[in-house]
Amino acid sequence: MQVEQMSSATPSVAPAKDVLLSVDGLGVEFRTSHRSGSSRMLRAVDSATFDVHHAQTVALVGESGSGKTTLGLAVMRHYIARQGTIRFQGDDIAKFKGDRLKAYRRQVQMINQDPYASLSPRMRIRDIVGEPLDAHRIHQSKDARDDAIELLAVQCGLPTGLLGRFPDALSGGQRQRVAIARALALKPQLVVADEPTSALDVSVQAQVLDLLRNLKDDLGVSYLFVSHNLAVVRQVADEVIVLLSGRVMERGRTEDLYAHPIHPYTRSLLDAIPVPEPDAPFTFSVGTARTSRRDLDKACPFSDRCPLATEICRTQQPPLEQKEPGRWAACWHSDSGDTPPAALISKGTNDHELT
Amino acid sequence: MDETQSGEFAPTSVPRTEVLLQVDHLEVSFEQPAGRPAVRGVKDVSFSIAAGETLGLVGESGCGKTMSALAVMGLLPAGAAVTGGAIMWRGTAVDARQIRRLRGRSIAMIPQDAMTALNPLLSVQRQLTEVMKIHHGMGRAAARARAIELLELVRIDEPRRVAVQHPWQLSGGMAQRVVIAMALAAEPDLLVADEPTTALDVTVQSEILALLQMLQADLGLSLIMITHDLGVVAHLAHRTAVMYAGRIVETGPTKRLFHEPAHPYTRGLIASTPHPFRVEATKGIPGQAPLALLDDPACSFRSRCEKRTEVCETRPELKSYRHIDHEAACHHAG
Repeated sequence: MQVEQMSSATPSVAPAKDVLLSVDGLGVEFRTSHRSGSSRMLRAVDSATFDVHHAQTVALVGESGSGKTTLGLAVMRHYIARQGTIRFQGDDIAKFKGDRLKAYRRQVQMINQDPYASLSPRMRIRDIVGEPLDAHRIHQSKDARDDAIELLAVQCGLPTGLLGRFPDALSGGQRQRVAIARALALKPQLVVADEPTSALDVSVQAQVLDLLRNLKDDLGVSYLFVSHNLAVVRQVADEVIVLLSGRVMERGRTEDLYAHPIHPYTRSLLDAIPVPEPDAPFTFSVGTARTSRRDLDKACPFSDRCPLATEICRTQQPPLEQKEPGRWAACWHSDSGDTPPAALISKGTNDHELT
Repeated sequence: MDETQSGEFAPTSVPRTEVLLQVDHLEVSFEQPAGRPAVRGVKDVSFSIAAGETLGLVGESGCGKTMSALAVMGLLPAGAAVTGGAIMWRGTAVDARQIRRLRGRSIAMIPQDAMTALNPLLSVQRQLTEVMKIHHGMGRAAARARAIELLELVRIDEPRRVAVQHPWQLSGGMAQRVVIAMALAAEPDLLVADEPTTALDVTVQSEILALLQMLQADLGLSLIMITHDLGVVAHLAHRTAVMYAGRIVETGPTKRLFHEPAHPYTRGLIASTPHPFRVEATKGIPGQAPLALLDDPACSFRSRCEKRTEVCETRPELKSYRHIDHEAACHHAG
């Protein structure tokens, strides 16, 4: 068994030349202010480390407030990180200026959660999809621009007849296809997709997930896929990063991570998803809602909910360590890579269970 | 025969001895300028719920599931009205005025977004006791004691502390528990829960649904669970009704509906629901649900349906499929 202390060396499964984006020890903080005038720093992301490879989908999952969106926005260079680095093709994105920054803006694009808010209601679909092309002066002639836009529409399953319409004429699924076409217009290498299907109905969500998968295969684009929905992530991700309170709790290949989660937090998330089959073994587990949360600065962020928590969990943050080839977890109690006993986890602090 | 194969996990049927609520060919319409087609409402919606039973009402946005529930609660928004059918409570048809008396006391609702359902200016205790003062004429001290009891019932740690807090001090899960406590305050027989966990994290969702399940078992409540999540109904509902474009397109015992879905829409919905433990090669259902065109003489699903034929230009009736209690509205059922 191999245990490797996480250091500044970026762990990676594939050869380094294949790495598109490399996030290393990233920390993002926000200043929160009080009426009293005092302020303190809120650490939204804390020492996050992971890679995104060419044509790979890496999912950032976690509950609300886990820092997954902040991390996505840091990759977009919406925030400049105080700690750690984000490297794109080996170069520190914080140092990008001028032409290099503009090139980065072409190479990395974003799809937002709500296609009702992310499309300007005053622009025709053609111009929404074409705006990135115009901003980067990609096409000299109007014909070339129109051809490019139509090709994008076809690629994204958008009827070209809709290009002259305004967003209000489109359904939610069609709008999200517009947002995807816009994100792909500049032929980016990485797309940050922040909850791209959460605003959609399930029958349409399945269409959009299918489209995203096909585009990845056809265009070789990589996705940083931010989602709270682990069932959706299972459908698209090659690798999953589980976040809690801004910290990476576990990461690994999707199949392995779902089949046997190492971290009790990952297991609690997976156990909570109602499998859409009435015969699947599943129970909703009653917990008790507590008001106060301990100060978790010096503790494992899961320690107040974890059935395996001991003294060390409450006093020291566990480092993210390699537990198995391709598997990392930050937990004091999963040294050997053994999955904690299922019965113990699913019972946990729950004092009532129904079948 | 079918009953024996019901596993130990999913809810099995309860004896439907006492029908609590029966909705019969309910029609809800919105005021429309003359000559415009009726949209957004519901039509021919029939379902019943027995004491101690959970009915899942599923469908995508705009299908009319919330509108049906609001009609039952007598809480339709301005411009909408019940324009046909009947609502029967314990075998007696009730009108809007009578529904108002049942509401809160016999039928209570858990709204979708707990944070907006709570009054931000009032303490938890104040909001809880209001119901009791109105419906049971309780005094202040008795009502406060009962409020604490209710907060314990919904498993809030330190109920006395939470009782004096205001909504902004609560987490989403905590606010949802408070709203459930409010719904339980008058000891209703039927709870109508409208997407009660949609805004919550998955672990909190699990806790809230377990709480509802437990309360139902302990207090003998009936529950109408409105949701878009088939995973939730699979493990919570005894029976399920699937709505599409303002009508029920399939209804039956939950297990049977999942094992032998008769309507192409139900099948598409099941296939589209992402499974947490396997990758599914689904392309979803093509297109998007239309607005409820209630006067459309054809099957509302035909534009998205792979089984569409000429006969689909006429509307299929909801009729029994294989079993008397499993109904589907499709010419090509099965």
